[in-house]
Amino acid sequence: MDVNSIRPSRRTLLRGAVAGTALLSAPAILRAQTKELVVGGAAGHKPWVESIVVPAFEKKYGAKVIFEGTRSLVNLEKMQKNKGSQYMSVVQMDDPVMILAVKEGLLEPLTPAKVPNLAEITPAAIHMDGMWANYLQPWLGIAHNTKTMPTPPKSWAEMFDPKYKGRIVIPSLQNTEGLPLLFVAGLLSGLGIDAAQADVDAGFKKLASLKPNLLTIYTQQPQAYNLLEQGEASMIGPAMSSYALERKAAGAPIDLVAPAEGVFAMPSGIAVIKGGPQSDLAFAYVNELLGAELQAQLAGPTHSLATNTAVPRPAGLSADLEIHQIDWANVAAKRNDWISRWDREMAL
Amino acid sequence: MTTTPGFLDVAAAAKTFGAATVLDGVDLAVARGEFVSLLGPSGCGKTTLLRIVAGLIAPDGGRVVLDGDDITRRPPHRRDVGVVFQNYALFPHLDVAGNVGFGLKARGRKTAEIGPSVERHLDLVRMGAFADRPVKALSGGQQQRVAVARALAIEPKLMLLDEPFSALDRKLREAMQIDLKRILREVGTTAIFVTHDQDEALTMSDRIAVMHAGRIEQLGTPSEIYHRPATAFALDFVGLSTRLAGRVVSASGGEVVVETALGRIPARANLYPGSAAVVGVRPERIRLDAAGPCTVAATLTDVAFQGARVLLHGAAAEGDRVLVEAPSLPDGAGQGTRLTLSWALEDTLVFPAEGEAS
Amino acid sequence: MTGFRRLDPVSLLVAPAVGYLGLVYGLPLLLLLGHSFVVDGTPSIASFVRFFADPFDWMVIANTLRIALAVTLVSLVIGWPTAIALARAKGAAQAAILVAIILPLSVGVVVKAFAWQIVLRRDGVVSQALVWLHVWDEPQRLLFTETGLVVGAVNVFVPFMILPIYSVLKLVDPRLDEAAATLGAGPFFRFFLVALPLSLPGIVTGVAFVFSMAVSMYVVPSLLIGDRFQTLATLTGRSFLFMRNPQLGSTTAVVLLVLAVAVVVGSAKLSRRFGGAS
Repeated sequence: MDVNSIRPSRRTLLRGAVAGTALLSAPAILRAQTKELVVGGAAGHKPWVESIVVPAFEKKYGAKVIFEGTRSLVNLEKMQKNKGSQYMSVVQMDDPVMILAVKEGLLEPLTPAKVPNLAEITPAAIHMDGMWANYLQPWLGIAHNTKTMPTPPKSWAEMFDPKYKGRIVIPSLQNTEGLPLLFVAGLLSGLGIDAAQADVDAGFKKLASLKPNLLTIYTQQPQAYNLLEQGEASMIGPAMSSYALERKAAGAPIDLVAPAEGVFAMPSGIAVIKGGPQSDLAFAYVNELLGAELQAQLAGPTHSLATNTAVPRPAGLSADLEIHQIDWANVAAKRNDWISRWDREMAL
Repeated sequence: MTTTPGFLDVAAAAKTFGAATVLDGVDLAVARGEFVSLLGPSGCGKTTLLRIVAGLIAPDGGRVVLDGDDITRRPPHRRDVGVVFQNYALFPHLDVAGNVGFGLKARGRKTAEIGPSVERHLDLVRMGAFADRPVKALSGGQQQRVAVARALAIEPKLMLLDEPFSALDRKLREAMQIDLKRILREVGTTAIFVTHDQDEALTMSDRIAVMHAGRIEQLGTPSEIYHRPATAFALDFVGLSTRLAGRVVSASGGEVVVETALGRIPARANLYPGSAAVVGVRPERIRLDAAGPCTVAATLTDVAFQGARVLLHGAAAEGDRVLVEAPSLPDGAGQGTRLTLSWALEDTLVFPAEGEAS
Repeated sequence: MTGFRRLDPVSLLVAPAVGYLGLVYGLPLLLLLGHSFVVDGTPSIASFVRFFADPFDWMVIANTLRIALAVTLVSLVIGWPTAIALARAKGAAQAAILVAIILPLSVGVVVKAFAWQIVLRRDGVVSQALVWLHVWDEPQRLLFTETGLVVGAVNVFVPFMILPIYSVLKLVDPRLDEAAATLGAGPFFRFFLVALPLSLPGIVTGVAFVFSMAVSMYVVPSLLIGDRFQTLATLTGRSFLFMRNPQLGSTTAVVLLVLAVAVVVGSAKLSRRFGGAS
């Protein structure tokens, strides 16, 4: 799930690659003999990393970047196994997995001295005193079928409208994009975003009233979008920008809207591995991904929000729209209990 | 062929499978209590005829009447016809008693009635001690007895036996033949017995129907079939014979002379001069002298010792055969000895060659 | 030498299979089972006590068994006559039926599940057919219901019912049916006293196959009914894959294993007794 599913089209990637190379063709800072930097990340990131980030970085630093694309948990296992003799220098993973890596002592903190661009990104994107930062954030809104539901939903509350009986699809709580639904429900029952995250009781009570509207609760994202595109479902919420807008770009009769109560930012973290080789290059790589130049190039193809405040919000998200950040440490601590309660209260 | 009305009457039974005519309008009448064998090579239609009588195959044409009832279209389970299959077809999931009692159970008889009947029929086939055995644990001969007991237990009007001894070795087969005949006589059941083994047919049958290419070529007692075969096929298929192909050279007053590779042979028959014919003589009818009136000479090629008697093979043309049965080898005779053979006129059997109109 | 002789040469033939299964299946299974009986480093059945104390878990067990039994039953009702037809068909017809049964096995479960999603939705053919036949007044949803799950799962598993029954029936002498008929048994009697007991070994195998596959299916329910219907298999998968809770996962796995083995062995025993008594 999560940002593994970012799949920019070939054309947008090429466009980005050309522009990115032009922007970064500044004089080299570190020119030495060719060094190698191994970056672990999500398989789904491979296209944009290799076509935009890597060429730009290699040109600027004269180093070779090897991107190993797999799953977040696999990256974590690689780091655990090689503790003491790491061969990867940088890791791009989801925030919940970052928390586990921090607990295992696998990460080297990012400091403003080594990563100057930390100063430019929104404070909410820096986690656990700089253990990792978010470079891009896909956002969560409501996806709807534009044929069966031509008027876009304006509020999260519309998912609860009885006229959509059996027409709503939501993600499972075991999917990362499913968690914010609990907080949405909290918001709708009158809580603020912090209260909604701290105490999910009100959220669960509100969610119970969604049950008649549910077509299904998905764990497989493609299946959910299949239902939406065929018109069997009217709305998916929360729906991830990286997936929904990619489907829209591919011609599917769907669109993603930002409800009035605000959207949620999904985590795409980047961190330096403790004890990894090429430490300077590793921090430089992180710095580039947090920089405005690269983020401006990546935001479009990945349908994501930039965390660098110098990069404007994408079309469709007004400047005053609230972008809620999720407290992943809180989620990590309580998620299993929430899933347990979810099973009992949302069952057929 | 005309038949007198019997206990079982099959009239003009016909069956084709695709392009192949398996039964070509067969009539067969069997009297009550009679034991009739259908004898013929494989593919002659004997098993098909049996299956039509059992109701396991519907005939394309013709009628089957049993004990006055037209059963042509009646399903097998309402025919009262017991069948013993070639491979016995015992139910592997039932024990011996379960197999024998199956028919009575299917007829809704009470357990109190089934038990004694099973016991009686098992005793009849001398399998009383095996009632509780699983059928898979039985030898071929024992399975065969159980199959007979199972078919008899329903007290059928008619028993059909489809080559029941073909899987048994020769000694056991001969013992079973006698045993089966005894059993059927005790019960008094009418039976039709399918076999390709002429000895078996001759040993057991009241009458034999020699079948060939979907027809009954001859229906008669074993003695009639042996001594007066109606066709060249019957001559060949039942018993041994000297057999010479030839051509009729003269015919007058019910007598013909046939020119063969061994010379001219007279016979009693009405055949056109010039037509192809087959001459046959049973080996035991031939004497080793020149007493005539039919006399030929042949070179001894082989001697087969058969216990009480010897069978002499003579040199013969392609397709012909010279066989003589004698009490012993003549003094001084050996391979290459020239033998003179003769027999009585009435022992010359002559038939139009196959494919030749009589 | 005598020591060698005691070793049946036949046992050498199964050695590769035993070695392979022992290494990649037996050993991990033992480790997994071990997990459920250890709490905080000491042997304990606490995780089972906790599991069975929760009414939700009983509902999950009920879900698991109900669906597996329904799938098995429907597969039997559909698969048995098909197996009989297959065993009796000849030549090209038999080949055609076999291909029709075996070829779909090469289509992945995910693809099938997606296909069923199209068939079972409100404007899908099943719903429209039922409305057209006046069984339903208006189109209804079959997707993400237990009925839909059973329908889809039967589609996936029914070959595993048909093939074992067929392979048994194929070896049954067709003369046995004829023998029963000539002994006076009508079609009904022949079915219950001959055809049924003779196909019983195949039925037992088929039931065991389908039940153990249905009781442990994971992908099919996750696609056809979704997250709102938990079974022991989906609960186990999630405990390991998402909740990183091997304790709970191994506990549910043990419960699933015990239930599956009990039902399969029990039904085999029952049917053998039933088969022997007739």
